[in-house]
Amino acid sequence: MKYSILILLIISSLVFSQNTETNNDISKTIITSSDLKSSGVINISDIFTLLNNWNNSTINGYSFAVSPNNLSLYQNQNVIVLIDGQQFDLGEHDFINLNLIPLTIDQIDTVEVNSFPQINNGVYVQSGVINFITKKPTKGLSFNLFNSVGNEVGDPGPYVFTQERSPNVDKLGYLLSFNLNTGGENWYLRSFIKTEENYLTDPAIKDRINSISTDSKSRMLAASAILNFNALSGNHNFLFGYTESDDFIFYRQIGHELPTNKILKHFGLNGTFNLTQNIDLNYFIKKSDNELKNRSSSTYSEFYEHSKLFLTRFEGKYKNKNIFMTFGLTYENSEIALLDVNSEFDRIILYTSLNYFLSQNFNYLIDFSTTKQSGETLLNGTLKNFWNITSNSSLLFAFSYSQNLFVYNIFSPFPENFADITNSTTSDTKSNLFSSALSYNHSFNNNLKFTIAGDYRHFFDYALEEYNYQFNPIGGSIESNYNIKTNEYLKAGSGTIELEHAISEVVKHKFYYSYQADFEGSFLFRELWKSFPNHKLVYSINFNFNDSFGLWAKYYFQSETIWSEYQYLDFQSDKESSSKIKAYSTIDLSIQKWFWQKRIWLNLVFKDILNNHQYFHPIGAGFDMRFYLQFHLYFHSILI
Amino acid sequence: MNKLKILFLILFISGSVLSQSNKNIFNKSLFALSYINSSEHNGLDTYWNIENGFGGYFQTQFYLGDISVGISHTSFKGVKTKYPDFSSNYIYVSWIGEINLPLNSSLGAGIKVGSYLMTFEDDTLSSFQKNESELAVGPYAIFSLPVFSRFSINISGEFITVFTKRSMKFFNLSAGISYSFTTPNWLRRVFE
Repeated sequence: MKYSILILLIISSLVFSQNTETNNDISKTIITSSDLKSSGVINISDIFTLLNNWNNSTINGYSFAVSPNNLSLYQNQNVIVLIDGQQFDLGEHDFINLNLIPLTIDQIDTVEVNSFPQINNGVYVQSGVINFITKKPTKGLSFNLFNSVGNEVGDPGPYVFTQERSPNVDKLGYLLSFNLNTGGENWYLRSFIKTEENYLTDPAIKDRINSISTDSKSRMLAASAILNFNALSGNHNFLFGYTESDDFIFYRQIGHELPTNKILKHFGLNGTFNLTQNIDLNYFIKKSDNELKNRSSSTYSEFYEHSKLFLTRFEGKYKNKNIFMTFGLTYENSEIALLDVNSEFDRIILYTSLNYFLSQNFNYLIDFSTTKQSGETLLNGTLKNFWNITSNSSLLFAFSYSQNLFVYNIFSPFPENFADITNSTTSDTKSNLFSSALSYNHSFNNNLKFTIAGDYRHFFDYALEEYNYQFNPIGGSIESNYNIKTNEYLKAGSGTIELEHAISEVVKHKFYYSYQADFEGSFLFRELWKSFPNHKLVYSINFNFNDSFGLWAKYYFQSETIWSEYQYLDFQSDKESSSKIKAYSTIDLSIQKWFWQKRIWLNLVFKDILNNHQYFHPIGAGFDMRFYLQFHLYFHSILI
Repeated sequence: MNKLKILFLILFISGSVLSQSNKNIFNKSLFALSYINSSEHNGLDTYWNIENGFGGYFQTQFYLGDISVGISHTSFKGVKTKYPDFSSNYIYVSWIGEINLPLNSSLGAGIKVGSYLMTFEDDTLSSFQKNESELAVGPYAIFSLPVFSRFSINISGEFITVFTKRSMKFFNLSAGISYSFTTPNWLRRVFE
């Protein structure tokens, strides 16, 4: 099967072509700084809500399990997160907390999101990559301040002192950051610090939290420094990042949160040497050191995970009028310690990418990578074809074939369980995915753009974790035994329509609809796939009255999802929770205004103004209407 | 579905109107102080008596109508000792549209939205328990009559819904005085 797919990729590359512009690539999303501001994004993790083709689920409102473009289940999250092209290891397993990256949204110039398997910054990414590109400071000394507060409706208020008392609901965090930059003609230095707090008082998770910790707050402190300079015929970027977080991280293996203290350290240097007009040499060297242990307020039994990663990558790039070619080699060494269990492994990745411009209207991109890891060889390949049919219509056709080693949820609070699982594996733990995409894009005029797209996924030889959660009314905890099932497979497809229309200079709106369904597969895979909605509809409208004042509103609808892992929840919890999340719709509203000649920016955000009680996970917090206020203060080039 | 239609209708209308009127933004401003008589209509008076309050706001011309920021303070006395006294500070922003009437008077209607902050007077409570805040929204109307130079007398009525689990629904009747002035350039620069 895998060889036939590779042959198909190669043959297709000979007969198909694609267009030089990639802006009709529906799998790529570019979110600009002004998009972030107008849409009321406050936390970095809110970015997931702007990615229409990503499914997401959350228990606490800020850590998310995601499925980018139907390329994965919610299990074993392997989204790659980059800061200025440097891979930043969040040390996450089942839920990704993007807020751990040492940035706030006022530092971000652009977010590039790729949702189709292909090589991205030297890594073959099977299911989603998010690259945060930071703003380049202006010359001289600059600083800015960021502050946000939020609240959710439904608190008891004074009734807490009466017989009509009700539980308190979540305060939605407090976020404060400060950034100091200095820059010259050929260099800049940025320093950054942020602190964040969240209250985990939602009734759905409060009992679980209180049974394992004497403190129900989560806190974070993060800092970073970036030094960027031009030297030796090139540009070089040093990034230091540090994050310490006291949190409650949900682990699927045990079915509830653990009170965790996490420390992330990142040292990275990447850059480019422009050897000739046509040849560049890129490099990336990184060392990360991540630690996870009980937080001081924990009443839970001791656990510990320490992972160190050293990564080095060199890649050569050649470009001329018709060809853009890349060759690269990556070496990774990982050391992981789990209490008294230690392991170490190496990974070597060899990759190449060819972007061939056959003519002004045709080009194709072919990526290929081979990875040597744990005695196994993994093959990955992608072909993307672009064709400018006319001056205002284009077609994209893409295939990919990728292999992954099945990675167990490697951290377990009980290392002996980890060892048992490792021993129970079969020899064949390679998972395979064939993906294809077809999209047609048409611009009726400068103001109206239409895209229709279809995707096909074939997952095969997958190893999946099977859970059957049991609800324990004492402490509201959820417990599970789990198995690993191999040879799982699924075939699924989706269709998408997108319309973008500028009514005037002031008013712009967008419509998005997608339908996805699986049509063949093993029982467990099909059951787990039901946690994704079949229908999704998003409508957003943006009023930019001038460059100082704007309004934005979004309507979101998704159909019912079914979480078979929680099938016993309905009756065991006496219907307090359910394995089904009903179809829901929300409306969000954001109002933004600049003050003091663009030195102060205020944003008032209302989420779910219809006040529909929303769930994003069967045992997660329920959310009512929320409102936030964020404040940015900017001073640029105050001392030149 | 009706809620949704109304919302987008409002957005479309306000958006298209707002986009056409930028003429007098921030030209004129006013300060106002008012005395507030407040009553609650969703059962809070079973536990607390509401005392009279006071408030103040700053208002300036916006793309359409006027926009203001303000604060209203009210005190609540428990009918029994087990219900602690508390005070509320409603910090809000509002938008108002006005029509001119004879004698240079005006009538306006608008909407306020803000944070309803409550502080409970009970020393046994932790700082977390002592303070509570909740979203509050409501429409209001105001009648304004110039009386002397730049001074006007204002009478207003407003409904406030505080989105606690059991919502609190207030009706406030206010009377007060306002002072209007041409917005100084330094202040205009702050707004722009």
